[in-house]
Amino acid sequence: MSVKAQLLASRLASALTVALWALFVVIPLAIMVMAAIKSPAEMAVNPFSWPQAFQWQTFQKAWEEAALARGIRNSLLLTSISLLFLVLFGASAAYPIARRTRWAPVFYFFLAGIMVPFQLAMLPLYRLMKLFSLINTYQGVIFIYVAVSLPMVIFLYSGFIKGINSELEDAALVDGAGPFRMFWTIIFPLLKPVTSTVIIMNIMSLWNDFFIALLFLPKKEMRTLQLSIFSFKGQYNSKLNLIMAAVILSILPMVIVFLALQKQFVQGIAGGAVKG
Amino acid sequence: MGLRNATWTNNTRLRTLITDALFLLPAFVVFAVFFAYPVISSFYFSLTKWDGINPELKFIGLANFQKLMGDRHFWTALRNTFRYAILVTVIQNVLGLILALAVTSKVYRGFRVLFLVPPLLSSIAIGSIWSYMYAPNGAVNSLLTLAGLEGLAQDWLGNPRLALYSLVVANIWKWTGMAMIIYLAGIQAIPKTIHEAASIDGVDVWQRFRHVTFPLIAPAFTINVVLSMIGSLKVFDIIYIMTQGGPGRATESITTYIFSRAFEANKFGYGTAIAVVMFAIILALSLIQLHFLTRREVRA
Amino acid sequence: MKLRWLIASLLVTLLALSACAAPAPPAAEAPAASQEEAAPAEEAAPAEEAKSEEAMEPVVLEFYHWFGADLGETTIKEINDRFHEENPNVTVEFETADTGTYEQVINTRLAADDAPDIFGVFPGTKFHPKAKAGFLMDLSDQPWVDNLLDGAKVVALYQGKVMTMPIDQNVIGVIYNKQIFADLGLEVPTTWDEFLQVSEAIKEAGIAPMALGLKSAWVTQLIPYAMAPSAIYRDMPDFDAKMYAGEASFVDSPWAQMMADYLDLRDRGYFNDSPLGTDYNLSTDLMASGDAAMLVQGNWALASLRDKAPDIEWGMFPLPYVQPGQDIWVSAAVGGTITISASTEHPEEAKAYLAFWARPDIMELYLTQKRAFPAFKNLNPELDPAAAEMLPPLEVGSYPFLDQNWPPGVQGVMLEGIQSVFAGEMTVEEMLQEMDAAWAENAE
Repeated sequence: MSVKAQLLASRLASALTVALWALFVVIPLAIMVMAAIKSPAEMAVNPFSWPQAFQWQTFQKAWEEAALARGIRNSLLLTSISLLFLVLFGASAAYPIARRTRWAPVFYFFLAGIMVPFQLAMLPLYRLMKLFSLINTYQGVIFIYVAVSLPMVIFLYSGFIKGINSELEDAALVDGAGPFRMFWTIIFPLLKPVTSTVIIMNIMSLWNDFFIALLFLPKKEMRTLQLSIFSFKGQYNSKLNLIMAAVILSILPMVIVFLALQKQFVQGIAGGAVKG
Repeated sequence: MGLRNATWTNNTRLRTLITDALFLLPAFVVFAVFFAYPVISSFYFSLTKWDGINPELKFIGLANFQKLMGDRHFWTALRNTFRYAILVTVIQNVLGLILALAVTSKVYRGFRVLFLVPPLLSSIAIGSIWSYMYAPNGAVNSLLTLAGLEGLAQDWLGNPRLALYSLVVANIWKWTGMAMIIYLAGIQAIPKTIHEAASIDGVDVWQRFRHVTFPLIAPAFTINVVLSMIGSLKVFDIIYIMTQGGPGRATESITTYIFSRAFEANKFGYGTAIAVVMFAIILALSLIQLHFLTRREVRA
Repeated sequence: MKLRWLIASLLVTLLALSACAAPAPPAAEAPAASQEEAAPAEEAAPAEEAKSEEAMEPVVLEFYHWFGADLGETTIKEINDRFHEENPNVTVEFETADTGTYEQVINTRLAADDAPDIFGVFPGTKFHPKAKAGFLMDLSDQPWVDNLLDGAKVVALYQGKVMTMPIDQNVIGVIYNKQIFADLGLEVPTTWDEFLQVSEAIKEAGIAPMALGLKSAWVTQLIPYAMAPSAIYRDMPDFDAKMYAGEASFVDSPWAQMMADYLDLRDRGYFNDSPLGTDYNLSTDLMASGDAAMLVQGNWALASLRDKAPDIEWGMFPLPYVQPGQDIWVSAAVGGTITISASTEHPEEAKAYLAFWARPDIMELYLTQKRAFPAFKNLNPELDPAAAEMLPPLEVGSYPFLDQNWPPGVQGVMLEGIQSVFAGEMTVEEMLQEMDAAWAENAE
């Protein structure tokens, strides 16, 4: 087989793979949409049939009753500020770890953090937060989000920094640039693909956090998106149509963020690493 | 000359040490105060008989750990957890890598975002969706019937021999998009020039993947394998919301067992002891994994 | 350079989104702020009249409870607003958590010495560790204690003292589709044999006699809970006491027969297909779609059934696990309770708040919304018509949900055990032995 034919074949294989996975992803998502736009009565009779009447007002009801606007605003605030600190603190901490083996013990100290079940930290953490008067404050939850997620961020960054040739920074240092300026102007821009990964991965966990917010931000005005959605879950009966409508509304902002990120990151990512 | 040179290097050494420390400081302080300290101080609970609320803690030494060795439910949970983690780690990485290679072209930008929707869903949505998928007359069985494969229809979550594997599929559905995006970051970091050079040389597609792409995404591979292994060893949400460890104990994992001991049976001390053991197991496995994976990276 | 753009654009996107989400962020905070401002203003006027400035100092009570969507926060808000109207200096801030995590949150807060002023505890032995640790206030001297129904009062006691206020009761029974019964010419059964005959007739008509959702672990216990009052406690009221004394065991109790009859229902084909793969929600779907005729559940399920099938006429009768001539006892128990933290800084205001809840007009408002049975005497809340059919049977005799008198840890073993027995992974005898072992280990 010629190289050209192989390329064609691999393109076909790609298209097929994407199509199959898309189907696998979409079927369960379709059920979610059905549960939101069908009435509970219709859903009870047959969850998979085409809706006889679209209950669009469910979305409006979910939006209003759960005060989703407030939830989205609070979640966006917590997620974006935590992300900012995660990227700044994580990237800079990963740099010495990736470059010099003497920091290996520190690396393993951080790494051990990925492996701890959160419940293990819960009670002493609550006492600590109370001591610092951080309960029912946004900054308190941001501290915890950053602390809990940092190990994974450092793990990701240090892995990728190792793959970057250190000649670049040596040259810059010889040119008289300070180490901090060198890092933020030369190394950090090369980490764009990892930064995008870090942002995407942490959006998944922070946007979906339920338990930390429940424990440390119980006040109604401060409720995050996930807590707002849970207001439709009862001890025995849950309002499934409202829950699903709220879930759909809740992922839309993040889909927009992902689409925006895609554009930014795909442009000119390649090439940068070896330009110097 | 020699003397001056020595002080010069000593100075730079000290300077790098200080700047390194400054690079590390913010992360270290936040992590140490808000996570490491609470975790380490809660290790003490594992040495007590305690219901989780009473101001009086009874110190009992290593008795909890001793009891753990003879607790067959703990071993069931451990076996389930390992089975789950191995399957998830292998399948998620193979599929994630295949998907990442498939969506490399910009044409599939929209699909990449679609594949990232399942990881965005909260556990309450996942639980309801997959409950409809797996119900006795749910989507999976209906699709099998449509395809003329009624014989394969199963009680996916009700059959204790199948339930764990059904959960693995739901886990893969949720998280493969994430594995994909990490591999994609690795692939995109490969300079185009290398691929171009390779295609000019007339290297075939498989050789290009085997000798050019794969070695260059080795760091992504390490990260993905370690993260999916740790993530699946710590699995809680998906199991708790879909089966609560049932039927019986067929899908009980270490974390659901910790939860039921500490908060349902009021045995907080014992629950913490299980968590400490789990932490030790994950730590050991990760170190072994990292050792082999990073060695492979260097060789490549 | 590009990177700076990237971060900037990310932040702009996020901020723009948050702006979209809340067109006027200051406005969202305004109600809270104005409330704070309004409170002192309101109190200033009466303070001058009453000339007791100290008593009118503004007080904020934190109230934490698990009732969420079952009730709707609007009802709680209405109760709190009315309380504030009558006690202008007291504001109640209500916060709620999902039942699954409520216990985890409240335990953490108690252990960290950060208890809410007023909070919910589960009735019966489940709250005893909290009382034992001294976190709850002794409410025995409160005026509402005498109005509690005897059955409700029992599960609020710790060492003979009333530690929490029961607010509602639930009943387990057989919810049935009246249309199906009428079509098949069936009568409400009053003995176990009649119940089996009715089930057989429904099965022959091609309908599942009973919907059962064993995938939701808590559902597994409902049929034994509905059987036990007639099978055990009607004739052996001291069974639990004997268990605590080590003089009785599950293995040698009617439990063995109860479980055998439970499995017999399955073997006769009286449940829907694959109960272990069906959850509570799907079991109510089966009832709403008419695919099943009966459902052993609590009255709470009626709310969901009416949502899903507004046109079906539902009825409810006690599970007749009796021989001819025997009395049927019903499983009925307190659902929620409200208690006061022993460490609250405002004990008088908190007690006033509980007394307010106990007032007939407030209790009836709450129970009508919750569609639950009262825990207090002389109340006439508007019950669900089907649930109201359980009132005469309740007069005959009732016993609480079994776990309310059990040591912690036994219920969990039972739930897992019933699933395992249905999955064929365990025998009834093994399950009851495990329950006995859990009892012995956890009873103090």
